[in-house]
Amino acid sequence: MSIDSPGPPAIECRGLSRSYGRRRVLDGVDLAVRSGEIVGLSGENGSGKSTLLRCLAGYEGRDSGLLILRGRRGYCPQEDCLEPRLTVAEHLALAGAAWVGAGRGREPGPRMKALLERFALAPLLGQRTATISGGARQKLKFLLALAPDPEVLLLDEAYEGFDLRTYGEFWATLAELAREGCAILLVSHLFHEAGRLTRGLEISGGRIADA
Amino acid sequence: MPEAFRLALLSLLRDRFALALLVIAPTVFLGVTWLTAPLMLIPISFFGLPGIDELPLRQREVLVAFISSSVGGFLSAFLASEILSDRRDLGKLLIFSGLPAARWAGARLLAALTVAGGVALWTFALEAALIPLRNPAATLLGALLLALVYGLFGATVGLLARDTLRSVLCILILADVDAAWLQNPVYYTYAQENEIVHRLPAFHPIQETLAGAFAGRFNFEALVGSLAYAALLCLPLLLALAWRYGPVEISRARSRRESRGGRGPRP
Repeated sequence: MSIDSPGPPAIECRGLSRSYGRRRVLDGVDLAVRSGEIVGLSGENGSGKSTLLRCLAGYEGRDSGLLILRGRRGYCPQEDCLEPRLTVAEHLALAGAAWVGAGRGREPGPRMKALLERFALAPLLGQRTATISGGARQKLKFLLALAPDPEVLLLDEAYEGFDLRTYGEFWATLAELAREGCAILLVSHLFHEAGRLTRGLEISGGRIADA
Repeated sequence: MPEAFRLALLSLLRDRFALALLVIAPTVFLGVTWLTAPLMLIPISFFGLPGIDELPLRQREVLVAFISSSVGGFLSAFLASEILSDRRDLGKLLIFSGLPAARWAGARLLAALTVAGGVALWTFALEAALIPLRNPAATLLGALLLALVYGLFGATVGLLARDTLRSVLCILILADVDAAWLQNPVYYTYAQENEIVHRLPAFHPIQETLAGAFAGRFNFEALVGSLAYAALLCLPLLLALAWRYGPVEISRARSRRESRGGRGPRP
């Protein structure tokens, strides 16, 4: 599926509102991301970027609005989501259990094995996540988001702590996924990334505008 | 589900603090009780046992039975809360990625109740080593029922509180007030006569333990009462699960529905 493919957008959000007490963080947000698009979401600290992604992922409820994600989904949250006493391989095994229609084996599939090599996580498979570096933990979070072979991918500052080589691999992986038809929405603060995006959006005052 | 169950247990087994607590707490509490409690006889009432209303029992034996129950109840609740707490929301991530919430929650709950059962076996073994039990099977049944009731309570607390300190406080208050104090006629003389005390969660399981340990009988009324209490506790547990995982499960289910027909299955 390509960007120009007909049919509804893979990520669709209409009139989404979310408040914390009296503070309205999202105020009628409309958003559509089509298959094959890499859409960057920027905005000031506290502008609601992460809240929008958390609402999309169902981590948080919403006051009003419509949210639809079409297809297999992956999410890399901003917060640490790893169990410190489980190993890298055990996290992937758990993610394997979450794959729709995937096998039940504890071994990563060929695609995941290639990603582990690409992100230099293969030597750390047997290590508990409490004992690996922050960058390695971030890589594992990213790979957990890729585990379902997603058609919709939500990334919240997913490259935080990556070294330069990994940062390059991160964008190369996103470009490959987009070519395969994955719709990607990522929170990004860096303006020099604009060239890697299909388009950029800015969130301000609880609403979204083209960046 | 087998993977989530296996890894929930494995994660707990790797928790040195939990393991140390599991070994040290019952050993110390029961050891101190056995060493310090007097041997004088006191009358203990039994409920739901036809033909037996009261028996004179050694204070030390009664206290060992009660302390065994209260420490077992506390540990069951605490470990269940640790397993269910999912502090980092890994469960939400997996459910978002396609794992049905029922499978995740079911695996975690099963792991918590398995651990609670293990705690009951362990405290029962210590109890059996310290005092003579007239009917070990019925005594063990009482320990298992208490582990079930307190395990369900702990699981709910873990889901709602998430923070260890708050969970421990909630569980300690219940275990201390209910199993260790209010149910215990050695510490609280009026416990046996008070209707409110009879409505607390530890009452029926402890009656099963007492009936087995000292009367040598199964207490059917206590079994039914314990199971009814456990069933009742399932309601707040289900509500807590719905609160934690409901929105992400609804999102997953909607996405599945929306993708039908439009996109192919996972390659």
